[in-house]
Amino acid sequence: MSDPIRVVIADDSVLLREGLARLLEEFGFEVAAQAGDAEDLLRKVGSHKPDVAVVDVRMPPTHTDEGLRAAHEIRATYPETGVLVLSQYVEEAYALELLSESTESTGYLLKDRVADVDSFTDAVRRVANGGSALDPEVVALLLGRRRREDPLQSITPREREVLGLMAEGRSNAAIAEALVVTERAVEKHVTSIFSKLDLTPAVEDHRRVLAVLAYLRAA
Amino acid sequence: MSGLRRALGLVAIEGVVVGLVALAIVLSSDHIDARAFQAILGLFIGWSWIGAGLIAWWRRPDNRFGVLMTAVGFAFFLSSLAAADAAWLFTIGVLLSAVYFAVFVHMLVAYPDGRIGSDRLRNVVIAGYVIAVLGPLPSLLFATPERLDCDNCPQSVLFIEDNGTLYTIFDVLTSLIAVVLVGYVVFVTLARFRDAPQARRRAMAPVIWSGAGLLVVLAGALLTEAVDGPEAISDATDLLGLFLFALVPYGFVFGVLRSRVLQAGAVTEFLHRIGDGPDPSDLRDLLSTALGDRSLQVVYWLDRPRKWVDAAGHPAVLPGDDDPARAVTRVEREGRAVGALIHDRSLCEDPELVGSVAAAAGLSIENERLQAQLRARVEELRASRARIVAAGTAERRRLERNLHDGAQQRLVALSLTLRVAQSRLRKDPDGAEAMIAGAQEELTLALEELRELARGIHPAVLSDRGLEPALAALAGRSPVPVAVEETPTERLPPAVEAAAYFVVAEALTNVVKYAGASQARISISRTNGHAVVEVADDGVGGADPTRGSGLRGLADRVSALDGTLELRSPQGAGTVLRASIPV
Repeated sequence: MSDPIRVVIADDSVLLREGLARLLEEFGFEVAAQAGDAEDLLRKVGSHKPDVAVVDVRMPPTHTDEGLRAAHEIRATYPETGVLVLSQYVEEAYALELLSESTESTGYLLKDRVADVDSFTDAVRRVANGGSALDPEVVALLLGRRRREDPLQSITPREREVLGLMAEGRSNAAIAEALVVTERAVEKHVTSIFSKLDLTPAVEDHRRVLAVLAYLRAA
Repeated sequence: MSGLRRALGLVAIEGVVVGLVALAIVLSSDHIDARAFQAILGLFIGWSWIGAGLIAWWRRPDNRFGVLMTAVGFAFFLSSLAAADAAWLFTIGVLLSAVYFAVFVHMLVAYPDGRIGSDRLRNVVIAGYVIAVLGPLPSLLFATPERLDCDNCPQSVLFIEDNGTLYTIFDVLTSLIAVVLVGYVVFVTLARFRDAPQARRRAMAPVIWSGAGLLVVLAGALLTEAVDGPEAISDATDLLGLFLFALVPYGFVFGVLRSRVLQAGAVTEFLHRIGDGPDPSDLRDLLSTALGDRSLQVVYWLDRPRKWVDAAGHPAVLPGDDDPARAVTRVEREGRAVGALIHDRSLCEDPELVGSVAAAAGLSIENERLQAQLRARVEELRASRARIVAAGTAERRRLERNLHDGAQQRLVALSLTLRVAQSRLRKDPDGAEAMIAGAQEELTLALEELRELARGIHPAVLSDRGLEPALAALAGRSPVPVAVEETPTERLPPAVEAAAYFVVAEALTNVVKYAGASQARISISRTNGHAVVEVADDGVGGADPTRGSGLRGLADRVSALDGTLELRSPQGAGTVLRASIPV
């Protein structure tokens, strides 16, 4: 087995921080450090160089979007460290701001998601390995606000599901597993979607996410 | 008043006597040309000044101007001593012969309010007196009567030697200084005239123009003399000067009468127009025209809250008694203050005018006051409405923060714990059990927090059971002992109950936080159609009603129900918060 993924956790609630640490350790991650605010987080990321930082959006002192700003800074300063931002509410604006420039090693999840251990740990792993993770609720919002005469109307319900999972940042294999179909079938859907939406096919998952998000945002 | 009248009568008698003495001196003089003419003219001028001065003195006893004007007359008679044949009297007369000019300058500088505006002007006046005495001195010290072209004049008792050079130098020097002083006084006088309000200028004009004219002529005469100019000019300026000097007191009387007539006209016009029930904006303009003061402001007195406001209902500040430029005339109706006129201080010279105009405007001002009161109330309502909205937003943010930091975090952590416990259930049943027990505790805490939060939004017991149990619960939770003394027997409207509850809750919070009290008591009674909520403590007092947003928010909440909130908190004697809400 390869080395465990190393994580730094930042949240101003000790209760939650401890809970997260215990959960991640329980499921095979190594929690390198915990931080109570953005400054502390940046310092600890700098010294521990973790694979991924799991960051709460709201932290002291203003309790607004410190986590988000710290995330940008981590991505800019430590490209080897992925950032998974946790938020109490779905804030589409925050999510898109985070994922607008690059989806590489970046994720945005609703905090409640952490109890769904499989998909949470999957997301942490994905972001740690250079992929992306976008909360299904954000994806649903993006898909939901499309207009009637939109090209999205021309894709089939199954293709729509695949599109949503792509937007969440999942790989073809993960999509196949989620939909209980073969990877080959997923590939066919993906090709069809890209041609219907007139998108350039991308090989890497995080580039694919970027393309899909860019398309969805352009609504 | 009769004291003043008696005093003025005595001064008048003295004036008559002094005048007659001066007349006698001039008539018996050996060295005066045209004695009879000079004597009669002198008497006429002196009495004119004293008479006009006494009129001014009597009209405005507090104004030094009348005194100064009277003094000019007496000083003028004093100069008649120069006509005396006895050497020592003649010497004194010549020495003091120009003093009346100095008094005149003093008077003009103090015109019209009897005060000298600045230290510099005060120095100018003093210099005037000094120069007035120094001016004639060379002729007494260094000149024989022949040099002065007055062969019959007695020899001065101060005579030292006949020295033409010293005499000329001395004389030219004092003349030039006098010219500079006079020029400065003319400048200051005209500037003051220019800055006076229009109505004042009407009354001031005759004195200012004749006075300033006289000073210009005097300066001309002094210059002519200094350069030893032609005798014709010197004679002409003397005559013109005398004429203008005689004119000033009549100018004064004329100015007073003219402004009376003009003001009477303005007041009549004002009464006529005010009868039509003018528009609010016109009222100020009418008053401003009638009083000839373009800077006039009208302010209104509100009973509740007690303050001055302008016509738009904005708070206004009255100038103090020591304000050099502005003054206040209060307007009352039936013994109650309804408003005030803020005007140029110089109008205080004419209290009758301002008083009669203010009295005539009383009804209109009263009407306007009611309007202003309404506007002030609207203004207050607008402000309090904005505060209520802001308070609502702040309250929502606070609730969101409390939920986010409290129950929500606990529940997320709880679901994490449960998930970990679930995964350990088989391999480590004891550890899992301990985790589930911990989760149970967390859940209890989360529920408690939610309950507290919900109570803060609106206590359920208040809607279900009314004030009494709700207050009892509040009192029970307070760390300071609280006695609930009285609560209404029947239910009040929900909004009133809620307001009463939050008044008590906020008051008790403050009691615990700031009062240092050993006990507090609550009562809510129904009096005269009002629910009166009172929370009293025995703490340190001295609470500042502007402190924090809590009380402000409460006041808004109470005033939204048309009620009032009052805080009494004398230093060291406890605090009483009382809200009165109509039911």
